Amino acid sequence: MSVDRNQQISHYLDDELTAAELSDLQEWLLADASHREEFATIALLHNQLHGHLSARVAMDTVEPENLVQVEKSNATVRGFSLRLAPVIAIAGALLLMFLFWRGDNAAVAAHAELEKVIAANQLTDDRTYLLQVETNEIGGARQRRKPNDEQRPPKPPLNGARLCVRGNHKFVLQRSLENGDTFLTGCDGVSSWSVPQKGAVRVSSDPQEFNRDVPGHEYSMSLCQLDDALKQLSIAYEIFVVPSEETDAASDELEATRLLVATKRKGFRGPRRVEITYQQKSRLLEQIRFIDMPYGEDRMTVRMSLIDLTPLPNNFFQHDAHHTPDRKVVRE
Amino acid sequence: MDDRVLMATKQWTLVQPVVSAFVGAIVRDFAARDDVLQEVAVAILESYDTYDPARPFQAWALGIARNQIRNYLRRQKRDLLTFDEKVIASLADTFDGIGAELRTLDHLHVCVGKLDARALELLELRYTQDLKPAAIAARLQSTANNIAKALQRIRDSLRDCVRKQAVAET
Repeated sequence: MSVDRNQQISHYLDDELTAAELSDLQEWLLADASHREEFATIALLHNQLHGHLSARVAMDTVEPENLVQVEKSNATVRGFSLRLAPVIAIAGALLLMFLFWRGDNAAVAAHAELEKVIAANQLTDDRTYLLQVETNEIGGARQRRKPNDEQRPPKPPLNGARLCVRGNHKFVLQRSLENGDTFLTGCDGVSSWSVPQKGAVRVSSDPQEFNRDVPGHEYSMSLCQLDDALKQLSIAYEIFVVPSEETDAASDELEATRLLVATKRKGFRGPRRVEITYQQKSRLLEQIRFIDMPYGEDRMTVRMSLIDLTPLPNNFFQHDAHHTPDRKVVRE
Repeated sequence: MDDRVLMATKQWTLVQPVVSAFVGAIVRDFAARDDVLQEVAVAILESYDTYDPARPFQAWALGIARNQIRNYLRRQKRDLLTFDEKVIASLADTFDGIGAELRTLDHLHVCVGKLDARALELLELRYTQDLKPAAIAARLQSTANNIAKALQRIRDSLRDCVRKQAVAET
């Protein structure tokens, strides 16, 4: 009689096999590498389901009054609670243990808070941010001294840009040039691309190719890969949580926010300081300020504000969703 | 914090999902799995000086996880029904090569969102309350066999779904 191996693996993971069935499964696993791969893919799904379901249930436990609405969005974001600890604790285990050993309880609490913000960010689907440059000096003094023919073409301005992200690797960055044209860059997770208003569409098999004129990519803090940027904070920055402000009657209807401040450690590259404003209950990230962020030869302060949580179309992160089919496409 | 700790932390964060799945495949109680994972993290930090950067970090971390699983199984008073050392060693090699499968699971939240209420209830009882099929059956007035089969069908459908989602994206 043939054995349903999917069923046998599933029963093994649920601890439902007899000793004889387990022995049979072991023999099957040792017989061929493809059998072990089949087992590993089911075990991987099983493991991920545990993390995902824990997070989902944690969100469902938040009271309705804590639900928030973001500007122009009908999407609601459900809260996030300490019950997510199993999801986030593992990823931060090493760092937290180190801090515990050092006896630095405030730092432990701040890093744990950052891990919760990272986990909440990962659970949020499509997000749209508005970028605002507070201080900027594109093409710094040294570059301006160069003769015209040695200067690189100016980068498209970031101020007023809109950044749409899905997960950690998909983004579309929409910038407006001084002549009013729109310039799009993006990544669909596999390839990256640029779509200018006129001229050829460029597509690269390197997902990072069109991320390179965005601040932060050189030191793992690209604005387009927010998850990586937040994780880099836990490594290269001292983290502090600013105590909550007292709320008054007028602010009762607003979601209380908290501020997490990260200051760069010596020996690392990156913005001098990062300020993260997030909702206290849901840990939804409302705004990040990158202060004194290296950008080529200069530094800038950029504010990223969450403006929309509306789900985007499935193909939104592919270049052909943003131009007509007759446009010339150059593959690099 | 010195550079050694920072580097260990960074590398651990990257490989943790695969190591967690490997440990969970052998240590099937979720709370015990988390305990073993913490011991793996400590062991990585303590022995990081012996890590050869020329070797892949994930394979090294999986080797440490194997040792910690062995220690865990030895500590158990009762006889656990689990794989022998030879199978565990060959599975460690297999998990080292499943990065592509891990990426398809980026779509898991979409696929879970498509499940009906009954399937979600079963998953929540199994994965958030860590109940085994017999305990779930007692709650839902069913049989352990029915529940185990239902869980298998749900996992199969989720596996199909994430793969289709991944293909649709390429």
